[in-house]
Amino acid sequence: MNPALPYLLRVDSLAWLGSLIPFGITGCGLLLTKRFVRIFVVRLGFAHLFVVSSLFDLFCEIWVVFGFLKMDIISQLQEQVNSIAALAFNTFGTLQRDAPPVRLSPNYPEPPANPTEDTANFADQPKLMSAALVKAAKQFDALVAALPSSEGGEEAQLRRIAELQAENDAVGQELQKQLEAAEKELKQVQELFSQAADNCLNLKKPD
Amino acid sequence: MATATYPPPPPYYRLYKDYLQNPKSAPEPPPPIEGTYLCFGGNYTTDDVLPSLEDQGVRQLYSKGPNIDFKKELRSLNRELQLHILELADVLVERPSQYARRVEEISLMFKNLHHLLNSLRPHQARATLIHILELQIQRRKQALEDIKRRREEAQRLLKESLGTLDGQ
Repeated sequence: MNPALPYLLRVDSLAWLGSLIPFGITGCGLLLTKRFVRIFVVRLGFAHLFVVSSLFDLFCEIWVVFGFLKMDIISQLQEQVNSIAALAFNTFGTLQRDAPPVRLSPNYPEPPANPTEDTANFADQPKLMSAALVKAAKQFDALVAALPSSEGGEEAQLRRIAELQAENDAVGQELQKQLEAAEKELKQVQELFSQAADNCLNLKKPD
Repeated sequence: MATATYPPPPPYYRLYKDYLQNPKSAPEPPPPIEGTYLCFGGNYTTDDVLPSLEDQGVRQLYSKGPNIDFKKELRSLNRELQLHILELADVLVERPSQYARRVEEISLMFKNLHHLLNSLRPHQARATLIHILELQIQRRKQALEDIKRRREEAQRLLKESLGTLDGQ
């Protein structure tokens, strides 16, 4: 199994490209990941650029989420780490902001319990959010398991690269030789053919 | 450094007056820069290496050593991160004023995680290079086989046609 295959960028379907046009953008080319290249938009003002770039980001997120474009494994890991962070601070922030008041000590009266719809929905917020956090952590572990094992180390890789380069050179020279021989033969055959054709023409005398 | 809205061309354009007639009469372009250089007032370096965590003043949580087992370290860092998040939740319930230390620890873990992932990138680059080289070798061998086959077929056809011509 080729160790490099999990690292490579795989694009599963590029058929979506056609649906980009409706934003009235001219000269737009969608390139592989938003991390590496941005759209270069022609003939648009600055405000349009901002809208387009954020729409483009949104589009890329949707594209990545629905699996049309797979990032390489390390970028996926980095995205997963960032999403764990986002989930963590969203969890704490939401819970701190929306928690209903609680009775601190028996000296103070019970806080007024307003049965708004917030408190009704709030009861399962902690459960949902912590479930999402744990799910994200599990996904991170799954991605780590999908990492190709780093067999050898830097030196082993460098040695392999040197080997492959030597082999590549040898094959390249062989190819060059064969190519030259083939071109020579082609020239010879063309010569002979033109001579034969001339002879044919000369033999066919009009009656 | 002088600045201007529409700066004139650099004065050494006069040296290239006879370039079309004699390309050697003009000076050579400057050689590529090595080391650090100054560009628009900022210092850049040509030697791109990931600065180690200690250089950035961040404590390193995973074990050092020549060959790190990335998977194990990543997994253990993940577990520790989850534990710290849980600790933060506990602290917020019981002693809310002591959140700062926990938050700092969590950010330390994230920095370590990202640094570990970034140090995987050179390995990935070399693996990609190996893959590309292998693909190229395979394509070249394929082309070689193709050419050999076609040459042999051409030779065969020629011999055949020689045979038919002689048979006449």
